[in-house]
Amino acid sequence: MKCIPLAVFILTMQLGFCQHKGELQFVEHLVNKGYYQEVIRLTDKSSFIQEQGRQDSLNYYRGWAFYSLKNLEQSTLSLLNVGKESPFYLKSRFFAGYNQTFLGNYVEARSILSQMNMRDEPNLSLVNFELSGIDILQGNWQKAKEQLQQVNPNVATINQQVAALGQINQELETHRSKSPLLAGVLSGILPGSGKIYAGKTGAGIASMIANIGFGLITWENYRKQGIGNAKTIFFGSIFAANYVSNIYGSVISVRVIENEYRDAKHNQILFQLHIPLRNFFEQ
Amino acid sequence: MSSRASELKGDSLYASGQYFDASIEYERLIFNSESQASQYYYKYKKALCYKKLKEFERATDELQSMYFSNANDSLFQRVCYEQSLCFYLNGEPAKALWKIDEYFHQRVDTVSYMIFMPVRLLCLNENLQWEEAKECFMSLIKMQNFAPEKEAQMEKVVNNLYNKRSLPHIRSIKKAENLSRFFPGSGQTYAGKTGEGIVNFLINASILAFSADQALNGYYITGYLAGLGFFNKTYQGGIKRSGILASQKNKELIVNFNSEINIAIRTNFRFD
Repeated sequence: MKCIPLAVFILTMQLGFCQHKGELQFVEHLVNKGYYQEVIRLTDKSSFIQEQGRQDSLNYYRGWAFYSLKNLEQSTLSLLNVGKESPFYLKSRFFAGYNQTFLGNYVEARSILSQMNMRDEPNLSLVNFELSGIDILQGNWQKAKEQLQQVNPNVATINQQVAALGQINQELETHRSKSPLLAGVLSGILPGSGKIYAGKTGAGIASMIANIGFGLITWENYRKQGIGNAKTIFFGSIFAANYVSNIYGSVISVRVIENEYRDAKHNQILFQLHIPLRNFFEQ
Repeated sequence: MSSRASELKGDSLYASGQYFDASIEYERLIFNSESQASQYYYKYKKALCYKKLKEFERATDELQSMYFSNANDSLFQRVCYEQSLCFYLNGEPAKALWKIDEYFHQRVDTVSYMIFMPVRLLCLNENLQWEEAKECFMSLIKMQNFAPEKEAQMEKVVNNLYNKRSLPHIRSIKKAENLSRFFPGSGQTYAGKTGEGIVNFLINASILAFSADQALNGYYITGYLAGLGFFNKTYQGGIKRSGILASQKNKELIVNFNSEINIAIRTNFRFD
């Protein structure tokens, strides 16, 4: 008779455990089918968060759902809650680090990756690789080179990206920025030439044609009606505004071109940092 | 939670208007279902949730994943109906008609024919297939078993609606553009925007007059560059705008025409 309460307790615990397992499998099924909003709605419910023993997996799935929906801040928060014992720990840490790198929070990203205290390959190489990417993004070319040298060349899955990152690092190190001042001076001498110097040939030619056009109209009116005529003043003002704005535009063009170059390289680095993470954890 | 309890939960969420939560419950039921029949049933219910959420593409995707080997399956008709309706609501009348035709090809009976008719009718109107639409409407009246006077009255309504004069006057986009090409502003007027057409004409005429005046007074550069250069922009823009206005007008006409039909069906027809 004494065994009956014990049996009931064990049965209840087993039933509860099965139910939790079912819920977790359901969440996994939702993630696999790409129903990320649904995963977030389900895991938002307090009953889910308070489940014992399944929190790590739930945090991982929740973080992954946020990551897939490009909500990287929330994704990081959930992924960092995945405990060391979980089979998802490494993946969660690496992706949390990547999220922070993507968001430009380099100090946080570095700290997340360093806190893992990796000693074994190939994960150690992956940490070094990710850290080298952060160094390049921060403009520490030399440190990035050293970090890349620490990546084990025997880790085949990462070799290609190491070479690509090394090349980007070298390109950025040797890159010479164009001068906004020179672009402005060039445009002052010959309208549009500053934009051509900056690399925007089409825009430069268009500016040149517009300036010459307004210049010719002003000259024609000036020649026939003199400086005091309303039409001369009107077209002359348009010409002057166009001339000055073209100089300003050339200065801005150099900045835009430089930003475009840096953005392109920035995206290339993030892309290269992402490939090994996919290769390592999504097989 | 048992399947029954989960279904009850899904249904109650649906009934209380929490369609997204209901869709999750139905997905859970799909996940836990062992038979294909019950999976299809819950997929159908999940699609209804998406329809309520106005996510018509997701609804059609959900319904499209079902395959029925037996056309007499009671769910087959409902799935085909919802699929065609969601295609229509998603602005894809051709796909909706294709789905209805596919259904009729596999199974023809008077009851289901009648259920599909309103959607078919609206889709045919959207596709400007007036003759087929009129025929469809007439068949629908015949199926309603109205009293002879009511039937005659309804037929008269349909004949009036599909009379050449009452049909929406669909504007040709090409014609609107060509009109503006030859006479700036006329394309806008043809598309139903007379005021905009007049303004467009005045702008173009003023610039052209300025250009001609300058050239006649010996200001060739000013006339050519400031006049014609600017005129080129307003002239080309006017042509483009005419096409856009004609297309907008056509959409508006079809929507109005279909809403008239919708009212006629809702007030006079029964689909029990």
